[in-house]
Amino acid sequence: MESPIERLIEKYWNGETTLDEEKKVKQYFKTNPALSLESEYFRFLKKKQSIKFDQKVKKNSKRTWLSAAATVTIGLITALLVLQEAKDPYAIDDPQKALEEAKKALMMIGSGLNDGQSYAMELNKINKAKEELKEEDSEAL
Amino acid sequence: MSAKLYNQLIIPAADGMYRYALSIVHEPETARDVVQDCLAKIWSIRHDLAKIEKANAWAFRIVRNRCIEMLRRDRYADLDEKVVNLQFSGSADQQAINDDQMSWLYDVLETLPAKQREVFHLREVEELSYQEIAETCNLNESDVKVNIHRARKKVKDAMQKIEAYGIAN
Repeated sequence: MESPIERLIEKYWNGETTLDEEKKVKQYFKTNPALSLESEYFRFLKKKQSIKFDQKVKKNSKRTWLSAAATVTIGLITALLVLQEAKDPYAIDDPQKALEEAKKALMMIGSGLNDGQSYAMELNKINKAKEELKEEDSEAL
Repeated sequence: MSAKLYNQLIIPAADGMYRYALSIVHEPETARDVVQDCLAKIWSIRHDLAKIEKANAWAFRIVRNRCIEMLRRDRYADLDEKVVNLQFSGSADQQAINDDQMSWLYDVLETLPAKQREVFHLREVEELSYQEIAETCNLNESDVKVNIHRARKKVKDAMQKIEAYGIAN
């Protein structure tokens, strides 16, 4: 003689159970776990039901790591560049020395200008002589 | 009001939507994309939610359509063809379940035609009524019943074979 639950299980396999009856069958196997394949099948369904939709996706974890690494690299490079720029290799910390260096540099520019001027004076002399010669030529003609 | 309905009807269905998508596309990432897209779409038309009778089946149908779109976009012409041709490795599911003892069940489910597998999933895992399954899969109720019966019969036959000979096939 079949028990009511056995009849229900048979009905289940014949595809004749209602949703409520199927829930009863599932509940029966949940509360009476056995080492049978049938029990395994209902455990399988239960486990499938436990799969959840995870919005906080792990799929981009690789991409997240990559972008984090890229951000850090860019940050480091920027910091290095900024630091290097700030540290001028020709900078002089001592103001007195800086003043002397500046004077020296200005003197150098000044003497350069003076040299230039003296050449310009000589050129002027040549130009004047040339003008005079031109005038003499035109008078002779 | 519509946002409240969305939270009441759709958010609790998200897990089922994901499992259903996963049963069709077999890849967790694609299934997640499908569900994200569907949730966004449903949110955009949330004002119509009050008119929907069976939100569950309705949301599942949206998932199904999106899965078909995704599979077609991946140059698979037909869902059934795709699912039949696809090597049902069950890797994604197996990862989630991680139980070697159940490998015989994957082997059996692998042999099911796409329609049977889909209907089987909606009934056994999502516990939808015949009518809801019929609406989701564009079938009539008697087709749904027949497909569920056949799927269960195959599982049962496999069990009996294993019990008798130690192997399913």
